[in-house]
Amino acid sequence: MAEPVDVHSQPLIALSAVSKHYGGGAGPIVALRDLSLEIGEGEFVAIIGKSGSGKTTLINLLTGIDSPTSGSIQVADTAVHALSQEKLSRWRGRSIGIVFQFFQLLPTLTVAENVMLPMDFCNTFPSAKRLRRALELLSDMGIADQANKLPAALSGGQQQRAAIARALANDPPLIVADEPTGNLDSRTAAEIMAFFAHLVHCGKTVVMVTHERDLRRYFARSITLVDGTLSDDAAGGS
Amino acid sequence: MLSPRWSKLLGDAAQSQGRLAIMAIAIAVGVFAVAAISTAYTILTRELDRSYLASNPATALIDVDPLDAATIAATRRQPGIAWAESAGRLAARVEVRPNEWLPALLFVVPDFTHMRIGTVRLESGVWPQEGGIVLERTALAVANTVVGSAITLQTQGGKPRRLSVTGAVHDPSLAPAWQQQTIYGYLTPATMRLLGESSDLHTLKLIVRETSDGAAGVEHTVVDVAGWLKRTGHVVREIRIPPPHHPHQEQMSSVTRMLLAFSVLSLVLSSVLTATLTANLLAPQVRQIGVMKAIGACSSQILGLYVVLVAAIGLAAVSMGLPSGVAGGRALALNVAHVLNLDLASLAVSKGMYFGQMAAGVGLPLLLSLYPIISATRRTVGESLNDYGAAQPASRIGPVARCVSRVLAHDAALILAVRNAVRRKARLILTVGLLGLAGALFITSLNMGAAWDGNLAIAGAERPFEMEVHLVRPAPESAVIAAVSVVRGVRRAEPFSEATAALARNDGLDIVRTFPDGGHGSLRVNALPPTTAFVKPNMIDGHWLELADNDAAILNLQAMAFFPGAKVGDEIHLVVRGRAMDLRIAGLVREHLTGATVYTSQDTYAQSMAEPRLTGGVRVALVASDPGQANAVTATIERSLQASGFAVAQSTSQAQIGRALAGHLYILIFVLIVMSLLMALVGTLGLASTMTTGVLERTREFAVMRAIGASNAAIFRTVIGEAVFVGTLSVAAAAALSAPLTTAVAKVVGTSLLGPALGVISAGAIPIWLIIVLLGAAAASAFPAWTASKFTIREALVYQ
Repeated sequence: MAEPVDVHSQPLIALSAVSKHYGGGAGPIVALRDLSLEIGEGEFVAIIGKSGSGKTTLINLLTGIDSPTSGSIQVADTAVHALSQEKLSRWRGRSIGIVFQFFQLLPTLTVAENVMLPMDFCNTFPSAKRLRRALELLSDMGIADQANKLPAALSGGQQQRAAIARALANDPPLIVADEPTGNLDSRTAAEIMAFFAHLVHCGKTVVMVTHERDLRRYFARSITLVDGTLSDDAAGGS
Repeated sequence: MLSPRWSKLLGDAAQSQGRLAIMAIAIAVGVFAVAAISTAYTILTRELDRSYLASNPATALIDVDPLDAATIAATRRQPGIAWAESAGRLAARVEVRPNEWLPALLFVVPDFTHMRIGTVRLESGVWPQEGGIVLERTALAVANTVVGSAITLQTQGGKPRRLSVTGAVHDPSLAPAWQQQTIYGYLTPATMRLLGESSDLHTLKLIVRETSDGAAGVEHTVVDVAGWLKRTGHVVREIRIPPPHHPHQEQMSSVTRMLLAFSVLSLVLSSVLTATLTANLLAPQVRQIGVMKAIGACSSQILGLYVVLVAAIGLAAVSMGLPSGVAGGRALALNVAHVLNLDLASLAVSKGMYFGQMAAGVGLPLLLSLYPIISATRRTVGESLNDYGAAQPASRIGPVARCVSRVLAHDAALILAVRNAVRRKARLILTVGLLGLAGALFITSLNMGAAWDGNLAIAGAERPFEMEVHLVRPAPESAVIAAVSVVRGVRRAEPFSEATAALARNDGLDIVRTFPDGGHGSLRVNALPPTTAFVKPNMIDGHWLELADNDAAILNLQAMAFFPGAKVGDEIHLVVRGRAMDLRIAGLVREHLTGATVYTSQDTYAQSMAEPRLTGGVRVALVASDPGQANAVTATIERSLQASGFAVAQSTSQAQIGRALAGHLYILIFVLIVMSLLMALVGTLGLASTMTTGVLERTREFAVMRAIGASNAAIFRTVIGEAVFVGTLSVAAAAALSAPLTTAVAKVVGTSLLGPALGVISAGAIPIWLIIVLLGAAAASAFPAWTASKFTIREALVYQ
């Protein structure tokens, strides 16, 4: 597991006048409107809002999963909005760890293979060392004994731990999670949140979409979106 | 240790075994078709020439009188002549059953053990001595005899004689006896004497040395020899220069090329199906691809995974389809060889062909699959993660779906089936296209069969008589008609005369281009009364024979090939039985299933032959046309003619001609049907895959249906109904496509064989195909339907 480091608040993420429109049968839908914000290194940030407020759109833009209609997105030294899909994939694999609500482990790979997959694609660790690293990460998550099982054999909490291990495989500075506890019971959710807090403590930046009030105590900052605009940006779990 | 990405590929492959098996089978079917037809094509084109040329066929044959040993020896010394020997050929007939005679063509060979030109191979028995005959192997069954038995044979100038059949030979220059309904026999001059014919031989067979001038050089040499023979006091009657290849070579080449085109088409269709299946395979993978890209995979890395997968499937398919295709091609070649009366010395195919087909079997599906693979891997992560399978909900109902919905107003399950079918338009078009093309080929095959049968009927209607009797010598027309008309069962009798014709040349030589059987490639003059009721061809230009015409000729389209550029009003100059016939083209006719014929009036013919009011034969229409009665009446007619002093050379019934024609096309039709069924298999596999994918994609929708009260039967009916709807659409597509396809196939086969009957659509074709497709659709959708009906609501709603 990564060691704790001092938290610096220099901006890791900078969004400037970002808008996102979607086309639809009933006319264009504005998911984000002229949004500007900065997130510093080592911050643990919650993105909060009602359904349809633009939370998921925001993190999709941060991770390059989606591109803005206008505006710019800077993550560390990278202008994310200007990258091609191919460069985005490579950048994302090395720079961001993504945790999905529904885990999204590949069902035909074992848990260890799922964790090794980002290392394989990005060639970040020598192939001989990938398994050992995967097992270390799974051990950190407390599921080393599940390494050779297929995801379907694991509980939801175990699958999400495996997904977090996969997100950490290439040791990215930024972790982005889209309602990672939305599908878990409260005890498991608390364990997962504690682990994210630990990652922040170790110097990672974590941006998480959530709508669960119980979890807000973990966050250092909460950004609230309403109808695609920044409604509130407050320290703590607000 | 295998890297995770390859582990994933193997895991995915293991989970999609059924679909991958369908892909492999589809490609294997395409490879099988191409391998089978190209193997048959390779073997047949090589062996046809080899087998024919192995008999050392005569470059030319000259009918000359007298022909003695000195003349033969002197001929061998003529410039350009490699070898010469004597032979004889004459028409006869064989009694195959009581009162049933078939025409025979006898080849007289002075020395069987020293034949060097147009050789035949003894397959069983021994060479004949005096009183014996060997038959071409295919003639034994036609003559209803076996080696060691005897046949009754009658030449034009003799009486019926029993000859012992001492053996069977193979003559690769002849079409099978069953096809021509002619019995080919080989005997010695001594036997000819026994039959009441002269033992003198009159045919000089020549092998001309090859020159750089090709056909012109051959003709030049032969004309020189003929000129020399004339100068040395011989009478030169007819010169035959057969084309330097097997009589059926061109026909076979064009047909096999067409089959090759269809087989390539089936490989393309299989490859298209593979591309579709690849797209279907990728459909549930799209979100996983999105996840992989979200965690760092590049498009090229994912592309590589699926390219390897498709290539591996292609290799597996080739390993199944190629060996079986080559075996099938060899079987087809053997079958065609049987039809063409060929022996295949070798069934080998070149390594290049194997490699070419391996490359095509792997490369073509891969090439076509690149599009769906690239499409899936190029999608953005956002698009991939938001993919839930089913197409975007349509904002309006299309006209077809609306129309069918109205018809099915009271059955929600079937309305849903129709709307689901049109939901993925590209997939629908592809499935309908695959099945439609297979159906078009099937309908085309049956249309061809119907056209062939139709043309047999048209040919029969063009010649509405039951039999024709050829006389040994021209006889008084009125007496012959009287002798025949008195026979009970005869409805009408007409005189006619028929003879082969050569184009008149300035040097006076009589050169024809017929093959050794004397039939293929010949031009005949047919003389008949202008008011004939027995020849009713379709006039396409000019007018039919008129009583006042004394030099009029009517040419059928087959005969026009002998007079390139000729038109109504032009003069043509023929040599018939050594006499000049100068005629004027009065009309052109379209006829079916007949050779090249020039029609003229009996009077014009008699005048040219200096045989006024004589006829060469008689055509007869009977009161009853069943074959059994026709044979009895034929025997009575012959007795009546003999009693009047007219010797009968040969009687031919239309039934015999029908048998000669039947079977020419059936192998082709059979192969086309097999191919269409193979393509139907590919189409059904495509439909099965489409249905399986559709069910997987709509699992949530099925769950919702169950949640609001749909029974298992309703869900089952929805899935089956969708497949049946797609199948029915494909039948409409097949019907539409079959018209141009039938025309194209007929063009290759020869419109002269299929002609206007092409307009005839096989009545059974579309209903039969509809039944096949509906059964296929039901079979293809049964498993997906069962799967869909077995989903529990909970399982279905959590399905991702």
